[in-house]
Amino acid sequence: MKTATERATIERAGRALIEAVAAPSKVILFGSRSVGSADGADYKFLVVAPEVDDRFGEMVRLDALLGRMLIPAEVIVVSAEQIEKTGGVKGTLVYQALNEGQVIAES
Amino acid sequence: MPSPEARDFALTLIRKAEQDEVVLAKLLEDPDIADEILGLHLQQAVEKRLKAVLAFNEVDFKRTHNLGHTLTELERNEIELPGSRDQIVTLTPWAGEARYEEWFDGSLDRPAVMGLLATVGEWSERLVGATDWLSAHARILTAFAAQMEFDHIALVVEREHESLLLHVTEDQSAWVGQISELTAALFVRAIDMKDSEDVSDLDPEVPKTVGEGLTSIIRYARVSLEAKQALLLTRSSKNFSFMWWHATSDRILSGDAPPDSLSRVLLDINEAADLPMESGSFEKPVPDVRVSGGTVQLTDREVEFFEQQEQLFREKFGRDPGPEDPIFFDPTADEPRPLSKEQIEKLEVLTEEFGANDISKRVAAAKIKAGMAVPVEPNDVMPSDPRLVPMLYVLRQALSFDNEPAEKCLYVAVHCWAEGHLSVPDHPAPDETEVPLPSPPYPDPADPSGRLYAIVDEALSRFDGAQEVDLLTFTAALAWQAGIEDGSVCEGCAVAGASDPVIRAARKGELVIALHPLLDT
Repeated sequence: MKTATERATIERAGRALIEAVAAPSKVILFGSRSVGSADGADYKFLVVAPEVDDRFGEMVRLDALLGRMLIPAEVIVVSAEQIEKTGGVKGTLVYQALNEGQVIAES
Repeated sequence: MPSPEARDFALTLIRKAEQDEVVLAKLLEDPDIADEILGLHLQQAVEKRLKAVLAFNEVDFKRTHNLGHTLTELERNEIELPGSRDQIVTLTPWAGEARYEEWFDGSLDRPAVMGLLATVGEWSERLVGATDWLSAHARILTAFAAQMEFDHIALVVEREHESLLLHVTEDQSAWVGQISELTAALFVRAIDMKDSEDVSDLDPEVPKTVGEGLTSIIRYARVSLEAKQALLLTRSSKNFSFMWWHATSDRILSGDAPPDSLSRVLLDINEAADLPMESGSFEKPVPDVRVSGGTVQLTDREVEFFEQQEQLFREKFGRDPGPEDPIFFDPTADEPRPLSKEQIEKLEVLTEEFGANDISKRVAAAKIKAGMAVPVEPNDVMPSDPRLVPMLYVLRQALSFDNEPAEKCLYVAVHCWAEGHLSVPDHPAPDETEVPLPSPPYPDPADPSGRLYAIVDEALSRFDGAQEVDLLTFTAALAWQAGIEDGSVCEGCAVAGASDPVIRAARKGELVIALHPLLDT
C-alpha cells in the first residue's frame, strides 16, 4: 500500500520524465516500489522512448534529473524497438517491467 | 561538531569505500575485467564517500544509489561538492539493474575514473577529519581531570582500527592522537599490577578502589569510543592509580600503582605525545609490522621506542645493551635480566583472565627483533645475533613449502622451539645422534601442558592462511621463546642429525648466512 507521499512522488517523477523525453513515450513504475512494499528502496522507472541513440547517456540524464528533485530513483531507458525485441523474454528487466509494472505517464 | 557515533559511522563508510577501491586498484588496468564489474565498485566507492560526509554532518540521507540525489542532499546542506557534478552522476547507472542487460551500452573512461576517485577520496577524508572529534574528547577528559583534582591523566584506548592516546598533563593541556598498537600494548604491560584488585564489572554497586569517577571514564571509553580495551592512568598529589578494562571479559582491574611503575609509563606517554597530529587531517593508523623474509620492519615510531629502551638500559647499567640483553629488563635488578618469572606469570594470568590474548603480533615480532640490529635498514640485513640465523632459515624453509598453513605452522613451531632451545648461551653443546624424532630438544608430544599445540592453535586463531608471513612469524616467536625457557634449564641433550648441512653448520656457528636471498622469499 503506497502512502500519499509515495503517490505524490511517483506522480512528480512520471511528469518530469515524460516531459524530458520525446513523444510518444511512456513511463512505467516497476520493482518493489510498484507494489508499495519496499520503503527505502530506489524507485525504478522504465522509460520507453520511440528512438534512443545513447541509452547510457539518457539514463545518466534522467537519473540526474530525478536526483535534482530529491527523488531516489533508478531510470532505465529503452527504445520501442527494444521492447519488441526483448519484451517477451522471461527474466529480463523489460519483461518484468511490462508484466508487473504500471504505466504512470504517457505522451 | 558531530557526535562520536556519527563520526564513527562516517569512518565506517569510508572504510567500506576503501574495500571497493582495493578492487579497483587491483583490476582497473586489467583489460580482461569488464566495465560492468569495475563500474559497480566505482559507483559504490563514490556513493559511500559522499554518504560518509553526509553522515559526518548528521544528515538523514536516503539509501539510494542515485548519486545525483546524494549530491543534491550535500548541496541542500551547504556542503561543498567534490569536483564535477556532471562527472559523478555518470556513475549512477553502473549500480542499476540495467547493467545486466544485453543492450546496456555504458563504457568506462578508466584513466578519468582514477582521477575522480582521487578527488572524491581527498574531499571526503578532508571533510571527515578526526582531529576535531578527538579534541572534543580531550576537552571531556580535561574537565574530568580538573573535577577530580588529578594533575595527570592518560587514557589509552584500543579500538577496532586504531589505538588512541588522550593525555592531559599537569598544566591542563591536552594531547590526543593515534599511537601504534605496540605502544598501546606496552603501556598496559608495563604497569605493575601485582597489588591490583578485580572490581569485576561495570556494575556501579561493586565497590571501587579508585572511585566512581574512574569507572565513569572507563564506561565512557567503552560506550562513546567503542573501545576494545582501555587503560586509564591518573596521578594526583597523593597517589598513582590505574584502571584497566578489556571488552572480552567486561571486567575491570584497578589499583593504586607503585609510583616508580606508573611514573615510568607516564614518562613514556609524555614521549609518545611529542608528535601531535597535523591539524585538520585524519591520519590513518600506522601499518602493521611486516616481516619480509626474516627482516622485521618496524615503523619509525617503534624504532624510536626501542631506542628509548636502549637509552634506559644505558642509564641503568652504564653500557650499551648487547644482543643477549633483554629489551624489557627487570628495573629492580643490579644486573640486566628479563622480568622475573613471577612478573611474567602475573601478566599471563591477567591476560588469560581478561580473555585478552593481546600479546599482539607486534610484540611477538619485537621478540624476534630483540636480537637484531636497530633499525633494520635495507642494506643492513644481517642479524646482529647469529643465533637467530637458524630460526630465520626455518622461516624461509616453511615459506617455500606448499603444505597447508597448519602444517607449516607446526613445522615452524617444532623447529623454532628446538632452535630457541639450542640458542641459550650456556646450553651444553648438543651431541649429534641419529635418534629419531622426537627427542630433546624438541618438545615432547606427551608433555601434559601441550604447549606446542597451544602455540600452533594460538597462531591459527589469529591469522588465516592469507596472512602466511604473519602466521609463521608469530608461531616462530612464541616457539622460540618457549624453546629458550626449556633450554635454560637443560642439562644436556641430544639432537637428531639434521639432514641439511647448511643449518647444521649455522647451528654450530661455523657459517654466517647473508640474508639477502631471504628478502626475495
